[in-house]
Amino acid sequence: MSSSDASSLDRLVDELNAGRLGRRDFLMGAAKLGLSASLAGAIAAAGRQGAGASPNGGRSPVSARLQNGGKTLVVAFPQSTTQLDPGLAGNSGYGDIIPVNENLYEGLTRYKNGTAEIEPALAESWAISKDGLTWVFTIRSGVTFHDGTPLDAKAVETVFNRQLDPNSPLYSSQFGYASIVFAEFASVKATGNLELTVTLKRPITLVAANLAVFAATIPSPTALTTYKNDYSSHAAGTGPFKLDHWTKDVELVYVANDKYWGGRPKLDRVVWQTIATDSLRLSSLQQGSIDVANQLDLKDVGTVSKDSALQLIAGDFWNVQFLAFNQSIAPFDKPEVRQAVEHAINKQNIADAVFYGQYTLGAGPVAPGLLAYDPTLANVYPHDPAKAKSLLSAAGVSKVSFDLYNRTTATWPLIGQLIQADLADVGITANLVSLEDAQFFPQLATGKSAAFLNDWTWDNGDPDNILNALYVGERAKSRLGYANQQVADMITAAEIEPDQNKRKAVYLQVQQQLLADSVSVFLGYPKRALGAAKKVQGLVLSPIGNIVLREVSVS
Amino acid sequence: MVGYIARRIALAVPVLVGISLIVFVMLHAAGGDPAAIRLGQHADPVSLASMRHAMGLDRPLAVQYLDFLRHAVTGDLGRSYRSNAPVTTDVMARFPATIELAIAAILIGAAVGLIAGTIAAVRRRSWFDYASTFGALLGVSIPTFWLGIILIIAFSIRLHWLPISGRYDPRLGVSPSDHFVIADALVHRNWPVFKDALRHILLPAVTLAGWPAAIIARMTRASLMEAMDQDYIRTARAKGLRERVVVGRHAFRNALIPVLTVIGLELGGLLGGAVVTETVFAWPGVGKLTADAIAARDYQVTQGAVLLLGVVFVGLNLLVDLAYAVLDPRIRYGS
Repeated sequence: MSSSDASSLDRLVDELNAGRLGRRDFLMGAAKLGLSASLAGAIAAAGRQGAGASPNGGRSPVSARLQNGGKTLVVAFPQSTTQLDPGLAGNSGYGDIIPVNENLYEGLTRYKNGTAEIEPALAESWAISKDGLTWVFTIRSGVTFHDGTPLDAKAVETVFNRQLDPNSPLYSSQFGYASIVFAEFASVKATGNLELTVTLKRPITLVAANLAVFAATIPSPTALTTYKNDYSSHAAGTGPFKLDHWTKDVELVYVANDKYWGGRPKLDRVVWQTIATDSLRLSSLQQGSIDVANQLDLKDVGTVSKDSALQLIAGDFWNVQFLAFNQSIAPFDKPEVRQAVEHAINKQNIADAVFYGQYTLGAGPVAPGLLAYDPTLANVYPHDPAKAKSLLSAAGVSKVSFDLYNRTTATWPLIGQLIQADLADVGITANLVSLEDAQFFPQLATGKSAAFLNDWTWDNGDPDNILNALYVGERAKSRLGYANQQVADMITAAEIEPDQNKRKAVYLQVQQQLLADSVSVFLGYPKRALGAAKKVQGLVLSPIGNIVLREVSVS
Repeated sequence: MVGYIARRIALAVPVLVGISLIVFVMLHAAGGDPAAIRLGQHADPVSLASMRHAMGLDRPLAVQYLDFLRHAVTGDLGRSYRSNAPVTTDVMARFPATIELAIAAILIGAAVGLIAGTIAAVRRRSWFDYASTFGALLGVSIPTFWLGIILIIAFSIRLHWLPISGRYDPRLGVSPSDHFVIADALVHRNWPVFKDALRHILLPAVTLAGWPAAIIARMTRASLMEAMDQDYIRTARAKGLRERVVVGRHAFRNALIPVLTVIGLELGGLLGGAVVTETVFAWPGVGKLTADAIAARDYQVTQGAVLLLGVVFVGLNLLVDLAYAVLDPRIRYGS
């Protein structure tokens, strides 16, 4: 069979599958191509069967009927949810609960979908005392958990205190986010049926933003107490969807919460599937066996936007990638060497070769869309290999060689190789040490890495989140060999500054100082892209990485 | 017979302890820290130390191992670091998927292998014999990840005939994935789900069947050829029996015993979880669970899963040996 015959056969098969061609006509067409009757018959039979569950529109009467029985949305993501207790949120310390969390649980506050703006959720409102040390939250009335128990101030107190109060019967030291979401909390008390009073040690202004983080969302205290370690199989929140069933790493199924205080969601069921391989996730979307593919490989953005059956949902993601130096380890004890590396790295090349343009070039540590993001900071260290070389010779160093620790996942190996090549061009040898996550993070914690590639994903949408975590105190000292008291003071002071404009000015100054001290090369900010079938409506990209389905419908 | 079984079970104990020790040592030798994985970007020396303590990782290794063993003896394999769920629950939830896939693969493999091997033995040095030899060579040498991906590209992506991954279309509104989907659908006469599940299992099962099909074909051919050279075959022919009866009743049944061993062992291997195939097809079985657990340094799940798989393998071996006695009255265990 020639290639034109092969494509004719393809077309015939497509027509058959689409139901535009009868079996008899198909066999006739195939015979014209010289196919034997038995082979054509086999193809026709298999094709028919295939159309049965073929997603492109549920052509088979069976699947069409069943799909009309309930509006189901199938979402696939690369990671897997390992833990349905938002306080414990499992694997890789992070992300895996984020996409699914806000559909099951809610916090006192939440992000207005798709933005960094905070809006009320389980708290109807809150009042802050003059000294900023007391926050009084009014809990939304008439809300019940999925297990039928009512939400009141006492429930919130119990849930918060399990992460804060060692005397709580539900306390465990495994809540890795307690120090972030409840930063500076002195006490939490139910001071009325629907009144919760939080007192602070320092009047930080970030409380509302911190309480919107997944780890501060509120599971049913009754379910937590009843099921203890087995809670995840009986998870109960207040969100628009309830847990139906869950098989770890495979499939998590939610059903609509008919009693949701914000109105019943438009979807009946949501199936979260784990498909780790990017290409399979995309193929599944194209084939129609899933409706939404989270975290598209950015090279596939073009493919999705050109596909008439699909839609691309892309935008900023609160994430920054960087190459961090340890200033207490040679050769990076010399500022000129750090600056030489800053000038040697071609960020545009990373944006083009690794992220296919879906990347904002690095400026400071604060990502686009956040307070005090300043694109002009990208001009501090422009790509300039000649300058890098002259900085090295000015510093009197000839042979610079160091170990660059890197991760083996996602695009890190590629980024590492590009940086290695850029550095080689100016005479710096970077020995790439690639570690899987299980070894990479312990390596960082040792404080003995001369340089490493890593990123930061925002927990709360505030510049303080990265600045305070990475550039202040013990961690900055051990990992980066960095201790600048002036920077630390500015960051600490900004936490209690109520005026956002003043905070912005401080954070700009902090970023300039961090660049002047060349603590890290801020490589850039990857964008995030979802692919979805056209029939999915109302899905918005969230820069924090969650997928909020309360407004989503399928036509 | 009972004494034999008891002895075999007693012998299995050191085997299983050995397996658990090797897994424990290898896991810890691989490096990495589950506490650091859980803390991720927030890991600092203080939080790391307190998390390690909360997870019991700051105890001496010997204590950790003996603790695991002490609980394992009572059937308690501990709890997953990642999900907090009991390991037995996690593993058992995955077993049905692996069992269904293993049975489907061994059925395909045995059918293809037995038929091809028999024809090749009867028509020695014919074109079919050479073709089946070549096919068997392909079967053992094509890596499953490659075959799986090629099948997906051909039948799922190009032709749209078969689904890409998973066990069934969740939009059919069916049962939880920790069940026997095919058996379940059959019992409840849910034909749409039954058909859908068969379509899902076909590609991974065919991918997995390549190796056992090849081994079984070669084994059947060799064993049958040996049987055909026996005196009793000549006698049967001399009696004037038809060739069908000679091969089918006299030679084939005698040739089947070693083949049965191979089928049993291959089934044991498949039940051990086909890590690569399960990953390629996102098939939610034990193999994928184990691979994920290793990547996350979920020591408890890895140890527990491997130990349970060891039990299954040892048990299956015993069953195969016992099946000998049933098939061949000359074999007697015991005294």
